[in-house]
Amino acid sequence: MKRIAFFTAVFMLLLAGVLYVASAAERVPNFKLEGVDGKTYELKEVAKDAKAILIDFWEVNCKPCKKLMPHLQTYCEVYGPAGLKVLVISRDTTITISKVKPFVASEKWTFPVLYDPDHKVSQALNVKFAPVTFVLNNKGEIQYQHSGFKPGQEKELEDAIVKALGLSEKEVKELYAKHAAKSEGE
Amino acid sequence: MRLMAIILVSFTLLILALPMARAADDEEIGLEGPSDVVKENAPEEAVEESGEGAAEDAAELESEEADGWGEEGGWGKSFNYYGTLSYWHSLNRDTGTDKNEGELAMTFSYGEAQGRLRIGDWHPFATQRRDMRIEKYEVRMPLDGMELTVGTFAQLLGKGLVLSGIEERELDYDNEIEGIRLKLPRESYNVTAFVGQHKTVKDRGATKVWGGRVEVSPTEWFTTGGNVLSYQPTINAAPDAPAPRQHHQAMSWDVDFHWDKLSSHFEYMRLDWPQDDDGRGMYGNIVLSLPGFGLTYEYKNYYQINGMFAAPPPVFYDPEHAKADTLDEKGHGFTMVWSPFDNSSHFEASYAQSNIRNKGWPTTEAIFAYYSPTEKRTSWMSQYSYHRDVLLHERKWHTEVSRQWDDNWTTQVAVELRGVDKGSGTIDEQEVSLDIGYAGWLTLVLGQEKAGRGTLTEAQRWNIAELRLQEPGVQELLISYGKRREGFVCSGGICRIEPEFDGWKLAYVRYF
Repeated sequence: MKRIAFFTAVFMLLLAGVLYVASAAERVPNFKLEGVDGKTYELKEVAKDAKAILIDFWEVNCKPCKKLMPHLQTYCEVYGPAGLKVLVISRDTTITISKVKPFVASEKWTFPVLYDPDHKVSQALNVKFAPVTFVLNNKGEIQYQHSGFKPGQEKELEDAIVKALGLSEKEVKELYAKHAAKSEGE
Repeated sequence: MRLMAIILVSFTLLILALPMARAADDEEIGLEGPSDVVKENAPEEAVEESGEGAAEDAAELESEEADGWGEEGGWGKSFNYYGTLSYWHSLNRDTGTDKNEGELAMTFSYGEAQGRLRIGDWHPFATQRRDMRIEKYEVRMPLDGMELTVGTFAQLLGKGLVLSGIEERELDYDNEIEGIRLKLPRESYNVTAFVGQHKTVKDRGATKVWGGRVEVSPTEWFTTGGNVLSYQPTINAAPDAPAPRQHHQAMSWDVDFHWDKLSSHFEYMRLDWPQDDDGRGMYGNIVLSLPGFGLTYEYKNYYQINGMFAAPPPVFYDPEHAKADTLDEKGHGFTMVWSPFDNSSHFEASYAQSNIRNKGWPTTEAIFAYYSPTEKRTSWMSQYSYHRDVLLHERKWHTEVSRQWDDNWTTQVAVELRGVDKGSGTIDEQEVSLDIGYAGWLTLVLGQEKAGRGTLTEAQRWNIAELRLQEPGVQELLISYGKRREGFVCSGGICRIEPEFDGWKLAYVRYF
């Protein structure tokens, strides 16, 4: 028992040291992943053209993920012109990875879906299941993070997007009006 | 025990105090919290325009002014990190297992170097324990146009016929490699080489491993690659004697084609065993992706593929049965997604069939599902699954209805009815769960699973309640109490039996 306590105490001290010494925090590491569309996406390249980035970890057989996706598509369309970029990362491994591409095509999403079959990026962000959603600013700093999804939580996500983009209520209304006009035109 | 309690209390206080200390430090040097960074950097006039141009201007300004990714050398001038601190407590009344577990998991970057570290003693199953240890450490950095990785890393070769070196934590499956890896990425070709050792999660003995992949993409629509894996597991030896090793070598070749809406993958592998009967495996798929419609056809033929490193595509689609027999199995399957309406609703269907080589042990699986769009704050899905093999005949109906009552309250009801026949007649089983959520930070799940009706034995029930409190991106607390049935859990072609649980669990995660 004493040994466990000793190691735990050392662990705590090390942790405290790490947390105090570090000068900046909560910035996700850069990554490069292949998309379903065959292109390669690098986070810092995506960030160059963005004011905020939404990253969602997703699996093709995940039911809550499927409920979240229509909202992501809406946010991509509405807030895209204001500088939001959406990246969806598939955590599917060999069992389901062949379902990802046809599923993405069938849903007509306009944001890129990236493959992470060995969970390299998942592990880097300590993601153990799906969905897990992050909103980053364009320096990669985490502004918001949420695990799981239930209907209604999309509002909280939208608030985080609006905050990360620095938009006022009036600007949000204008973006929705533009989106509605564009949808009617189509 | 008292000492442990003091340490745990100190730990909690420390974690709670750190963000406050950081905020105070930031104030002293004139910084604002991370959530204000974007606001600060986004000029108001640019935001007011709210158009594409405004976004571009703002982004441009930001890259000019800030220490952002856009600047040359700007990214990672300082040490950056992100991670979680977790604590678990569980008490299983069946086995009397009472355990406290902890974990620190963090990702960091310094300049162009990136890494991760995980220290802990968490075991996903409440009946089993693990010693505190450094579970993962990894540093990745560029080196003269190459990428060097040192530590524990995930490595997948092809579709996993030769090597599927990944980790599935919830299943207690860890196939990552500990060693050194060098990658040479080029526009038309990629080379990867690695050397190290593989330890099973129980540390039963290290297997020496080396391997690599050469991939060539002469055109945009065609890629081909060759994989090699050599490994030397230890075999039983007398105590204090050097453990002798077996030598195995696996090689595979794969090709990928992409033609507009069609793509295809084919892979063939050979594995030399000390016995004469060498292993061989073949996997292929064709994927059609049209707007609103997707179809995948898969074929598999596996024989004596090593189970230690390989986790090939199972070509079964029900997560509870999705496992291929790597010793002897051939079969095929298809899966379809169809979204005929102009909303998020869609149909899914899949069919799979397999046999062993002499046409015995047939297994058939079929799944049909419909996912509705969200209308009047309500959505639902329904799925029928059929599975039949020599030992099991199972039919399942699964339905879920979700309803959002107002901006805060949500509910979800899920019902599953199963008819399970293991050779002695059909047994009816039912599973019901009610999920209540409030404002994104509170979730209460009440579940009941019932089995046994239709047999001579008394019906059994497993009741469980789970409460989850979440402060997004800051901390999470999960408390569950009740019984959970023993079950077969599968993910990524890997399956584990999760033991029955009767007791309570507490989990706390703090993000930093």
